[in-house]
Amino acid sequence: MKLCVTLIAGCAVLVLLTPLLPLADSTAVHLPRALQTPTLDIFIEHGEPRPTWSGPVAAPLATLREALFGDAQFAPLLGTDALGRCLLARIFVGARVSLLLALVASVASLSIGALWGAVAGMRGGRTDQLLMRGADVIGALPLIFMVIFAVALLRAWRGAHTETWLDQGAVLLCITAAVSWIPTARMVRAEVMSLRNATFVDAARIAGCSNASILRRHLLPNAAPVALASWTISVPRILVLESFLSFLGLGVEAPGVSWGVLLRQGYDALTAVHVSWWLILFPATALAAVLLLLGALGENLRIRLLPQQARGTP
Amino acid sequence: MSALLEVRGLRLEFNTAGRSIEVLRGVDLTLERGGSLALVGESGSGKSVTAQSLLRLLDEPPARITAGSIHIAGRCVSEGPACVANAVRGSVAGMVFQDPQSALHPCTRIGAALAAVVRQHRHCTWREAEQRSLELLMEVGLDAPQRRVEQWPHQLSGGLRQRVAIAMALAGDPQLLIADEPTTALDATVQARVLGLLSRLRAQRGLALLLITHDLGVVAAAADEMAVMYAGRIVEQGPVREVLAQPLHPYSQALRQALPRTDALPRCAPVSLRGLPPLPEHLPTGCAFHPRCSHALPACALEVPALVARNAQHSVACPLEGQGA
Amino acid sequence: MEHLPAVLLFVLTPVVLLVCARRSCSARRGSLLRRAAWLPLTVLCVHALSFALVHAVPGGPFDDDRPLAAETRAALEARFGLDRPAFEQWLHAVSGMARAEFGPSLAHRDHSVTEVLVAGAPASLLLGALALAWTLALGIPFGLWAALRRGRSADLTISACIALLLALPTFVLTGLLLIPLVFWWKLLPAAGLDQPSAVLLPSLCLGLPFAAQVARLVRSGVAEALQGEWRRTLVAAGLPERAVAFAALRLSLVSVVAFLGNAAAGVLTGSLVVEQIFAIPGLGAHFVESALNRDFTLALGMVVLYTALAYVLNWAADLMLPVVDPRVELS
Repeated sequence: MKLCVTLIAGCAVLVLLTPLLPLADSTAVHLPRALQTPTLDIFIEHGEPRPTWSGPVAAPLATLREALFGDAQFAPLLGTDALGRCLLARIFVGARVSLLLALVASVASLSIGALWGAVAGMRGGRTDQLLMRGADVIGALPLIFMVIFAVALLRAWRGAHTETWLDQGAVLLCITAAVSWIPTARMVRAEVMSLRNATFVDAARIAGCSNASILRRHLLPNAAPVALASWTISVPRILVLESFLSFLGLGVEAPGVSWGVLLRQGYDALTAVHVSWWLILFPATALAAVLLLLGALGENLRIRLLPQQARGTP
Repeated sequence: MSALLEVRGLRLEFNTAGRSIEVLRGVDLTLERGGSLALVGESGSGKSVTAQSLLRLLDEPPARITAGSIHIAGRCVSEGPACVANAVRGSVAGMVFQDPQSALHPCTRIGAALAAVVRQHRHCTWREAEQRSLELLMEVGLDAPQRRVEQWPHQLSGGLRQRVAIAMALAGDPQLLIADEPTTALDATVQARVLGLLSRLRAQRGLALLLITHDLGVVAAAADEMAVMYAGRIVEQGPVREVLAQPLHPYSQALRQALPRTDALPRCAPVSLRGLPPLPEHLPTGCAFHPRCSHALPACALEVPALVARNAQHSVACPLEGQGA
Repeated sequence: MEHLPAVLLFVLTPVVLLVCARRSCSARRGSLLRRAAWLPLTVLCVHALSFALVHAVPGGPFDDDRPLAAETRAALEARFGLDRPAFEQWLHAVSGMARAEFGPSLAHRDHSVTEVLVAGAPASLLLGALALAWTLALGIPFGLWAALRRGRSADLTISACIALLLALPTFVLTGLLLIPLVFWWKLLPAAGLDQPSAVLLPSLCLGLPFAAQVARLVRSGVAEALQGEWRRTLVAAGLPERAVAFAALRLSLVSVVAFLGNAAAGVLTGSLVVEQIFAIPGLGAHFVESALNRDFTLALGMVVLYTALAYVLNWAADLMLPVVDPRVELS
């Protein structure tokens, strides 16, 4: 658990501080050195184009990098892609996109799910029936196909307007958040239902507490672990969904970079003549490592936060 | 010829989480062919563990036999890995368990479950095994066995399931039937019928019966000899009539007194024994019963009393030998 | 008259089936009929939803390439019936669907949607069936092995593999298998379905995550089943370890069969990716492509086909449940 948290925190710091790292420009096309194999021969290069960063956090970090490293930067240690771009830099930039998307989408899905489940659990009766049947219906649809459909159509709708990755990302974000809240809603509803009938809530009600204060003082703090556990489980799921869609060409699109996009480009560059294994192996390893870590964290948190449930499922 | 079942000084411990807890502390049992012995005691006294260790059914680890020997029909089953007991399981000694609800595999038809056991013990075709299953079901008193073999365990009542379990235990034609609280989970009327069945089987097959129970009524109905267990040791052993009529160990006396009496006056209410049986990991020194014993002497806390024969059949592990009562 | 098949299929059949279900005396047959009745209704719902989605989005299939002359465009739209009101179009589509006709594909202009689907189905079905075969053929033995060696090195290795396979998405796993097997050691062909051996790797990549899930279910199922009292009865009756292990496996199959419905739906999804990577001429490639090209008719046909497939497979798994576990009553 401790190791897991440390590793995840390390990844997060690395990803946050990407502008500070002496990485090559992830967008600099350099055809003469296309499909260069990974090498440790040349570790540091000088005078290559440096990435430009904008944004309130990234820009100062980039300035700091100038001050620290000057024009020195890592050579393409993990090789280059079909356009000669440094894979190492692209993995870092892709991480920012993939992880940010997964984080925001999972928080959004947590909010929707928690709200939906809490309302269903609190109100009970017909409201509960209606909300949960609704969730059942949505859950029964072949979701992944609807998602592909919706993404493609929304993209078509947006047409050829402002094509920056964030806007595509926004579409992707809405979709992933919209389809991944159902398990959270179920878990929160079950917890709220059982809490609502708990003796201490009855006691509070008899003591004259208002509904709102019962919700605030008793239900929310007690349902929080369930919500948190379901959130940690949903992050890797959404990460997979995002990279799956990007992989199919329905999510983040080139020149935007996410891990799904990187993998897709890796497969596209793979030919019998040029077995550019690094273009698949390294993004795949990055994705696999993060998924494994998040999965382990989720499992640990679930056991820790919900001991009574964890015991039921060996 | 030696006795059918001979247990000498059996000691058994459970090793869990680095601690070893001794559950059986020197058990001696003898059962002749065709005889019947009831093993009596409170829950936690080790009677069920004794029964299961006879066929090496306990998981090893955590269970481990540390000393003593078990011989069934002359075969030693206490030495070596648990699979040495395969030589006697089913073929020499069959076993019936307490809970008929879960004793049968839920996804096997009655007939198939029985036929599998039959085929394990005799070389025959499936058809012959099915025929034999029908005979067995008839023998344990199931009506319409033709229909029963097609049924699933969950379609039978508890009493019928226990009969099927007995039929499975008998499928290998054993000489000994070990019945671990066979009637505890059943209704009173069904209990009586199952006990009747056990007596009939004994008479018809010349079967020896080792009956584990905490119910003295069951003991009186189904056994000739009885052994009283307390905290992993046998504290009194003898013919059922004698032990019940004249218990010598204070613990047996207390058990006897705890029994409601139909012949007594209403004010002669059953007397319950004070205290709880000791946990195997916190055994009192000396005689394990002395903290609860109303006749305890200072010496009882120091020395473990040995099982001493009072007459040819009756022995007791108490220095008072019933004098205190 | 045009709508007769649709009325028959989507109104009359469910109603008749539901009435029969209500009247049938056996609970089992009743639920069977009810499930059958819900199939056309589910398909209809999904179709309606997809149709609404398609039409809620502005932009037609002919927007893409170069701007068309107004009359050409009108002619095209008239030909494909896009100029009529949406509800009428929907009714038309539904009655077509009842006759298994989804109209001409808008992107593949010379083929009808049905033709495209029929052409792609064999490859996809072969792939999916093989993937499910891998799922069972690998999942059950390894799960059983791990359960019987619980806590020892074999169990730990298998459990680690299970955790790894469950965490990896199909397109990552495929890459990790593809490069060494195909490109370094050249054991298997890279793409297409020309040789019989070509289908091995795609189906393996598709089936492995589900095999891991099955292995996990079998492992915990067998371990839990071995805690049951019936085990002592069998051991005491003299049955050997092997027979007891098989009896335990029998119990754990209940959860495996319950999972197969999900697995089948997951295989359908995964085949999208695998068919793209291995350039298999199946249905999966069409789906993404049709959604991207705004090939409405093909996309609708795909959605309907996949919904029906997923429903039927789930149903089949549920039907098998009482066969494996007699205690389960169909509900």
